[in-house]
Amino acid sequence: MNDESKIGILLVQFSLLSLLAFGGAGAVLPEMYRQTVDIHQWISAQEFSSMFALAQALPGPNVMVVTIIGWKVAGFVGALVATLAMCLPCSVLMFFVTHFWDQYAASDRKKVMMMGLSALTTGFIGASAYLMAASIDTSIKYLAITIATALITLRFKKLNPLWFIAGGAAFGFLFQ
Amino acid sequence: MVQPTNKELFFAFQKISLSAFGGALPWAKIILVEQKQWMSLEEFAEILSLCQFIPGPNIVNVSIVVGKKANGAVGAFWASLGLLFFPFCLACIVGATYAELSHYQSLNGVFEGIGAVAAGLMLSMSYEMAQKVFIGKPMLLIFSIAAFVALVLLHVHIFFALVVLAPLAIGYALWSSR
Repeated sequence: MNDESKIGILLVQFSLLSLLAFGGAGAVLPEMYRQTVDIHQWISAQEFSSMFALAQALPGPNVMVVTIIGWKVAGFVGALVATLAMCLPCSVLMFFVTHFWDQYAASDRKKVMMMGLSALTTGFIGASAYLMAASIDTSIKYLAITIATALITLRFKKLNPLWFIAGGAAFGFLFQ
Repeated sequence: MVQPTNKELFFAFQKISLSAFGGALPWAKIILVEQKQWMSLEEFAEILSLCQFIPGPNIVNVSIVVGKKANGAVGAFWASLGLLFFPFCLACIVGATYAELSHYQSLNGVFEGIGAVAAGLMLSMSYEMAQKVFIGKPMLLIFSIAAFVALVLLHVHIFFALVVLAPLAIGYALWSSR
């Protein structure tokens, strides 16, 4: 398969994923795996998992995993196309939804509707946090780090959380 | 919400992405709400809910909404560029050097450590949001718990949880405020 058709497929597949990702990029991670590992066989299961871990550990949105995958498939152009395909369709949609939402109805009605949605969001974020902890904290010591981070950052708002990140990284390096 | 300039948008979202080890949303909250004070936590929660409801990576959607509210399409452009530029460059470097990187087994511990902290930050963010969102409306907590149970215990895909629970939550909110 030549580069042009690979890039074409990257464009189509990731655009679709972008528009299916209700709730966030995590929602389409299984489908992304199916497309990249099973169907197109661009990367192995092991590579998917380690690329995801790398994208998570790197500063930036976790969705940048698509950039890494795109590079593996078709170099710089692949990385660029995969990233734009994943981010542009939803951005355009988001822009227009915001535009029409701002003009819709009375603002107190909107406020009430958003209160309902915010309740859901809080639950979803809590669930993501829980699931993230469940998959990453494979041992007591990492669970302790998660809980300690949560408690300390809640109590001491002034502390810069970046220190925790650095500490966590150092801890992981020394005690793995 | 305060109206930042394009330049401020770009640098704020760049700061968010450069701090975002393990996940960007807690950093969006920390930087937009606490450091820059461009919005309250309630406003952030509302923006985040709209962003979750629309498909796409949440933090990218947040940059579009915040950028648009500040300065229309141009603002949305600069906010999202600020968010994505450096991570894109870093991810390209990783992509290019992946073959060499995959030899470094010792990185696994580092990733776990970073991930553990990131999960903790997400937990504290959801707790703080819960405190603000439910003040005066304790019944809404039911929807929050339903969302949590659906994802964690019932393993429902977030798409279906949204489709089912969103109309219920919105309907209840409208009904109870009559």
